[in-house]
Amino acid sequence: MKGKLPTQTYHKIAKNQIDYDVLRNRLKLKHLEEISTLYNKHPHVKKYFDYKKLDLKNIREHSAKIIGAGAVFGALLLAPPDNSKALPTPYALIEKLDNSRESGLDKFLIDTFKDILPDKVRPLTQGEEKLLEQIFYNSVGIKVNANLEGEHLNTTYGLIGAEQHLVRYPGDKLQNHGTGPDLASGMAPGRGAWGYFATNAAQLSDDLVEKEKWYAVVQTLYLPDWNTRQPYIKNWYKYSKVMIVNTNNAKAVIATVADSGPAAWTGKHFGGSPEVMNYLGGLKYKKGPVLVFFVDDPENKIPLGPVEYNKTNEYLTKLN
Amino acid sequence: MMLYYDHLVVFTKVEKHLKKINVNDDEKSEIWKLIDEMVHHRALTTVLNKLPFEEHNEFLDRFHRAPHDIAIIEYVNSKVGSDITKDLQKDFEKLEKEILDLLSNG
Repeated sequence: MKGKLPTQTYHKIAKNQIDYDVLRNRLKLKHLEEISTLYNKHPHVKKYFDYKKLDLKNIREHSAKIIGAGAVFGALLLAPPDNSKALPTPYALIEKLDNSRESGLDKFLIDTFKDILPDKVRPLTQGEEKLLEQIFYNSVGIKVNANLEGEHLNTTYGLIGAEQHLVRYPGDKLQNHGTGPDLASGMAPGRGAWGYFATNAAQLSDDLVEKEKWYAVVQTLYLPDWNTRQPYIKNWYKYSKVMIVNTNNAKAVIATVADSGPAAWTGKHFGGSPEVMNYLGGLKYKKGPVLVFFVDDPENKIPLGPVEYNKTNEYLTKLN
Repeated sequence: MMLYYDHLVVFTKVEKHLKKINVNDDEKSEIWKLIDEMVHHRALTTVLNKLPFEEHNEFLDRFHRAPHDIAIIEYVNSKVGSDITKDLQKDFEKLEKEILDLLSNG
């Protein structure tokens, strides 16, 4: 028999569990300490938030609602963000796209991102998102949407960070995820937000293998209606298909959402599997700006993995 | 991003530490939220400690109206006469260290 007997490892399991309980209690105490420090020194702040019926713990939800409303009504009511650029006309872009045959589609996209996107990542306006949707459809041949079936991420332009492999079924091991440098990232100790991909190794289909290989992490936990629209919204996001584009080099991959995160305090907004990150920026790529749009592919015709720009017509044929 | 100070909060060491702990999704969310809320309280304490009292209501109104608005930093800078991002960064670094102590202690 290989490996250790359960009687030799249960101490480790128990230790992890105790660690979590202890950790949570310590963090709760520290959390209370932070609240007391603020409100003892500035009691009027508590009165202000009470009056506004806002709990500071819900500030992200509150912010997401305001940003969402701004994106919808932005063109009509609100001024554009200070750091937004004057968007080129569709005619100018088509002309540039036609001329890009010699210099390459990737150069066209990189130049276009420079023209359109703000210098620092932020939620994009509806106008910016619509323009990018058109650009991707006309250049890459893939129909993508910032808003699909009424669902919209809190941001479509943010920083992506490197994630580890996910456990696909009980007993799954890193060695089962293939060979090569992508294994160096290791495997997360816990399951993804949607649990195991399969109940056991025998149930792990090729399709599920691909889903774990090309998975994306998005911040579903900060969506403004995440807690009120369950279980619909959690089911909707499970394995939803997204296109991730590295705005520095225009490399793009199609991935499925298979985990929730990263935490806001990591300074990142999305996560990518080792394979996703390797393709987007190479083995040393750990963090960088990306665009993330939903892929409108109800019949599941667009394969997961790298987007190959010389296959534009092939993607269009599949979609039409 | 969603909050005007989000780009100043990068708890890489805490993230690395927590990635090693085997927790389920609910437990992970709870830990993340506790840390997130600590950041919100610390950020407010830092800014209000620096800002003259008579400006507190104006600041809170701006924060309530548009918590993501990066222009809040410029507004605070103009009232305190220095760069508040430096104070925030310093206090966030301190908070990360305090959290790390909790994670690794005993």
